[in-house]
Amino acid sequence: MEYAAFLVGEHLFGFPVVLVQEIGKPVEVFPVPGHDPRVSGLVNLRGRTAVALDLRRSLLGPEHGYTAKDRRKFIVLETTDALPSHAREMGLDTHREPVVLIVDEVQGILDGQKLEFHPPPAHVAERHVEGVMKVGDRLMTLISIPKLVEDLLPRKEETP
Amino acid sequence: MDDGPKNLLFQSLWGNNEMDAEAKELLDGFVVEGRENLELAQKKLLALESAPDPETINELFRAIHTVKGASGFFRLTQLGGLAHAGESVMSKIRDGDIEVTADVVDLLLKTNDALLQMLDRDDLGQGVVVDELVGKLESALGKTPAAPRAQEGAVSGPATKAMVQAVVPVQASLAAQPAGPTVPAVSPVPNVSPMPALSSVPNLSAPTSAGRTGAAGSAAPTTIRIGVDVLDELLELIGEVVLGRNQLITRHRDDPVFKGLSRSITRLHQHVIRTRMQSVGSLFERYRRTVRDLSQQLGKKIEISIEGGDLELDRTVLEGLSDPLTHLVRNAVDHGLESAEERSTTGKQVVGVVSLRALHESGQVMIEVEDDGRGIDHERVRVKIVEKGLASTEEAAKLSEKELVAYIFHPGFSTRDVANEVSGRGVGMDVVKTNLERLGCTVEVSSRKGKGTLVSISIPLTQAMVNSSVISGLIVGIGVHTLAIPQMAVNEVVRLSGEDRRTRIEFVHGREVFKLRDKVIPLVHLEDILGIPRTYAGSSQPTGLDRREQIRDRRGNPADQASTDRRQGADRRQRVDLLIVLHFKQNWFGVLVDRIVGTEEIVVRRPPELLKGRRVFAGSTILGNGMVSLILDIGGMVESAKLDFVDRSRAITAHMGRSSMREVEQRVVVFSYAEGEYFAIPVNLLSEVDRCSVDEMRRVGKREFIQRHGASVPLLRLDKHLDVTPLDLSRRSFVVLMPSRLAYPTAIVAGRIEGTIVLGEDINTKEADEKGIMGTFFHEGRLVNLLDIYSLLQKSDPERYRSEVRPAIQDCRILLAEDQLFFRQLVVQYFKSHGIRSVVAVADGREAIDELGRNPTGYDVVVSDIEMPVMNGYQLVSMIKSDPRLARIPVMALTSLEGEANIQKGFEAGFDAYEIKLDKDKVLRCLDRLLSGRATAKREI
Repeated sequence: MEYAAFLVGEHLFGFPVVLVQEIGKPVEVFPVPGHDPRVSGLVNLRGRTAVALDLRRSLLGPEHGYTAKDRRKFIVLETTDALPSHAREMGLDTHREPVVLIVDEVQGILDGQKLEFHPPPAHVAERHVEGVMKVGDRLMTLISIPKLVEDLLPRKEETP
Repeated sequence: MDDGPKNLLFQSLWGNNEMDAEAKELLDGFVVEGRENLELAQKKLLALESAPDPETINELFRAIHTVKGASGFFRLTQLGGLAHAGESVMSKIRDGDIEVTADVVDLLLKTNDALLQMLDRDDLGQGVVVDELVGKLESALGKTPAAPRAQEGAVSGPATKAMVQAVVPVQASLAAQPAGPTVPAVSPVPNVSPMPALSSVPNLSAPTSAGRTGAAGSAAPTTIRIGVDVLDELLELIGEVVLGRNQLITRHRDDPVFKGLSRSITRLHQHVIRTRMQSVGSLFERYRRTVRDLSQQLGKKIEISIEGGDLELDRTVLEGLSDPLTHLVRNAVDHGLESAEERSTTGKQVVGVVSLRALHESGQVMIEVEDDGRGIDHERVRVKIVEKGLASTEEAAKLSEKELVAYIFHPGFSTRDVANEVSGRGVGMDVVKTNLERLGCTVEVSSRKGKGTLVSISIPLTQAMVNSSVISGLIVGIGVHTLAIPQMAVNEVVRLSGEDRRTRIEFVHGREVFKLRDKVIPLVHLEDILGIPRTYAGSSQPTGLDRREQIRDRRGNPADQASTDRRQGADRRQRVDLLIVLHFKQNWFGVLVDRIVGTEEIVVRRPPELLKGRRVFAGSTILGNGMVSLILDIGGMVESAKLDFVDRSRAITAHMGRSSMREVEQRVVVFSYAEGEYFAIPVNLLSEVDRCSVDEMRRVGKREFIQRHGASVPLLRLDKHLDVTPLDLSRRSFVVLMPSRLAYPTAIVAGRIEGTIVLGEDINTKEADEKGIMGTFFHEGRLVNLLDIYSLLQKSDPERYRSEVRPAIQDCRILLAEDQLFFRQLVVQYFKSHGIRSVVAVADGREAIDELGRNPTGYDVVVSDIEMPVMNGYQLVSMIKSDPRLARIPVMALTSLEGEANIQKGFEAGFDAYEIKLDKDKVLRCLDRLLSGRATAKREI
C-alpha cells in the first residue's frame, strides 16, 4: 500500500494515499462560530461545502492551531462513496461528506512495503493512531481518518 | 409482481371489492418496513446473547412492537398474534423477569424467522397456524398454553411439528372470490419482493397493477421507479449548478446567453425539487381509515379533522413521519379519547375529535396531533415515575407538569397498565421520539387533565424542505462571521440609535428587553446564541452589558448623570446596533447583530454531519460572493437563548374551536409593592413595563405624574386605593406598569417585578371583597393579589372613568359567553363595576344558545368570545341570527383574535360589533351604540 506522508508541526504523519482526492493550496476557511476548534471551518470546494479540520489542533493539541499566516496545505479527501472498490475491500474508509485536512506540508508518497511497521506504542491511548512506520531515521505515525472524524462527531444525546 | 393474491387478501380482510391504490401502497409499505424491522430484530437478538444491555432490548422490543401494531391495523391476526406473544417475552426480559438464556434467544429467533416467512407469503401469514410457537412463547412466560385459536377466515389445519412447514392456505375465503387469478394451493413462494425505493417515493412507484388493468388502451406506463440515491445526487448537483450560477450573475448580468441559461437552470431546479415533494395531505388521509376502524373496534365515536394538508414536504421526511403519526393517532384513539358514555357524563360532546394539522412556523414545519380526550393525569405520571424507579419520591414531587409529561417518552413508560392489541404497553412514545429524532425533528407534548392532549412535532427547515431548495435569506454579520436568517422568520429590522439604546432597552431580572411599540420583547445577543464572546466595536471589554446595567441602576442619582452620559457616548457611539425582530410560534424576540449584508436567494443545504449537534444551524449555503455561510434555525436560536415561550400558535391555527387546549394559559406579571406584599396583573393587559426614577416624578397638588411618550401620565399608587402598606420611595427608583388600551393612560407604581407566571385555575375570588382586587392565589408560598385594574382605575378617578356610562346601559341585560374562567370573571366584574346589574355568564356557545332558548326575551345584548370549546363564537352568532326569536339581539365579539382578516371574518359570520380583549372603554362605548340601535355595520377598531 502507498501512503501519503505529511508534516503537522515537526511530526510526520501518514495514511493510505488512495483516500486523497487532491492536494491544494489554502483557500478561505469560514469559521463555524462557537464550534470545536479542531474544526477549522467550512470551505467552498467548487460549489460543494466541505468541513476543514485543523490537524495541528487535532493531533498536537488545542494550543497549536494554525493561523492564516502559517504555511499550509489542504488535503481534500475522497468521500466514502467515491473511494475505489479495491480501497473499500481493504476496509478503508473516510467520511460520507467532503472533508479537508489542513497540514503544514505534504512530503510525498511512500511505498509501505519498503517500510517497517510497528503497532501503536503501548502508552499511546489515542484511538486514531493505528501504528508507526520507520522512514529512514524518522518515524511516521499512521492515522485512521474515520476515527479522527468520529472523535469530532456530536455525541448521541441522552434520553431523559 | 403479481397483485392477485394480495388483492384477494385485501378483499377478505377489508370487504372491499377492489384493493385501491392507496391500500396497496399501504400494504406494500408494511411488508417492506416489516421486513426491515424483523431483520433488525434478528441482529439485536444475536447481540442480546453476547451483551444483554438495555438499549439492545429496547430496540428489539420496538422493532417487534412496530410489526405487531401494523399487523393489528391490517387485521393480520396470525402475524399479529405471534408478534404479540414474542413481544410479551421480550417485555419480561426487559423487566428482568426472564433471564436471557440460549433457549429463550433460540425461541425468539425462531419466532422472528416465522414472522419473516409469513411476511413473504401472499397471504401475509393469515393461512399459517402459529399456535405451537405461540404456545411455546406463552409457556416461556409461565402461562399455560392457550387452546388453539379459531382461525379467522382460515381453514385451520392440525398443528404440525414445525410451524413453518405447516402451511395451510386460506382456501375457504380466497376461493369464494370470483374475480382474480386462482391462488395456488400452497404458495410459500415469496413473490412479494421488497421495494426499498417505494416506501420513500410512493408516487414514482411503477404502476404494477395499473399497467395491466389499463391493458385495454394505452400500454406505456406513465411513471417509472427511480432509486432515492439517484434523486439525491441529482439534487446535490442541481444545488451546485444554482450556486455556481448565482456566483456568475454579477459578472454576466447583461449577457443574453447567460440570461437564457439562468432561466433554464431555475426551471430545471424547480422540477428536480418537485420530484421530492409531496403534500402532507396524502399522509394525513391515511389516518381516516385508522381512526374509523379503530374507533369501531373500540366502540367509540370519533371524528378526524385534517388541516393544512396542502403543505408540501420532502417525501423521505413524510414517509419517516408515517410510523410515528400512526402511533400517535392510535394512542389518541385508544388512550386519549373516552367512550361516548364517559364523554357524555363529563359534559363533553359525545363525538371525540382527533385533529391532524400541518403549518409553517418561521421556516419550520409543525405537525400536530391533538385529541380532546381525557388528557394526561400528571399526578398519575408522578406516581408511575416513582414506581418505575426513575426518580425518588422527593425528586418526583419537584417535577413541573412539563417535566412530568416528558417522562412518557421514556422507554417502558406508560400510564396504562394493561397492554392491549391496539396500542401497547409503553413502547410507543419512546419509539415515536427515537424515530422523530432520527429525522431531525423534535417532539413536545402538552396535556390538560380532562381536556385533551396535544403532540407537536417540529420539523426544522432543512428537513422539511428538499435539500437544495431555494429560500430568501437575510444575510447578517457578527464579528468575523456571516450568517443567513430565513427571511420568513423576520418581522422587521430596527436600527438603534444611542438614544434608543438608552430608552428602549430595559432589564427585567438581568435579562434585556426591548420596547417595540406596544410590545415588550426579549432581547438576545447573537454572540450568546452562538456561544462566542460578545463583540463591541470600540470596546475590548466583553462586559459592556454589565456596565450598562449598572449605569441604568445609578441613573436616578443626578450626580452620576453627567459622567454616565459621557461614558455612554464613549463606548457606544461607534457602534450602530441592529436589531432583527424575529418570530417563533407567534412569539416575538429581538436579536442584536453587528451588520446586515443584505438579502439573497440562498440554496439551502443540509448542515455537514460534523455540525449536527448544533441545533442553532439549520444548514449551510454558499453566497453569491463565494462565501460559505451557515443558516440559522429559529427554533434552535430560541432553544439556545433559553426563551421559554408559551406556544401561542394553537390559538391561531384551530379556528373552529372544537378543541379546548387553546387559550387556557393566562400569564400574569407578579410584582411586589411594599416588601412582602405581592400583586399580579395579566400580561396582555399591559403595554409597557418601565423603570422610573423618583426625580422624574412631578407633583400637581396631590397628584403625581411622569412624562412618557411626550405626555403626562398620572401615577397610581396602590396604597392610596387599597388597604396595603405604602411603598417606600426613598430608594429613588421604582417600576411603573402601563395598562394597555386605556383612553386615559395611567401608570401603576410597583416596587419590584418578581417575574411572569402562568395563572392556575385556583384563584380564590370569595374573599376578595375589596374593590380593585379580583381574587387571590398562592405562588411559591406567597399570597398574591390579582388586581382588577378597571375597578382600581375607576376607584382612583371615579369622575373620569365613569363619565361615559349612560343609565340606560346600566339597565341592560347581558349574556356573556367566554370559556376562560379568568376573562369571564374579569368581564363580569368590569360590567358590574359600571353599574350594569344583570350579567349572566356561560362557558361556551352551546350553553349560550341553550340559555337563549330558555329565555329568548331575557337579554338585550350577547357578548361572545370567538374561540371556545364545544361551540365557538362564529357558530353561536350564526345560530342566533338564523333564529327569528333571537335575530334582533345584537351580538358583540369580544376576542383576542386581532387583525383585519379576523375582523372581516367576524362580521361575515354575523357579529354586529367586534372588540379586542380588552379595551374596556371601547367595549362600553360599543355597548352603548349597540343598545341605541346605531350599531350595525358601524365599527370602531
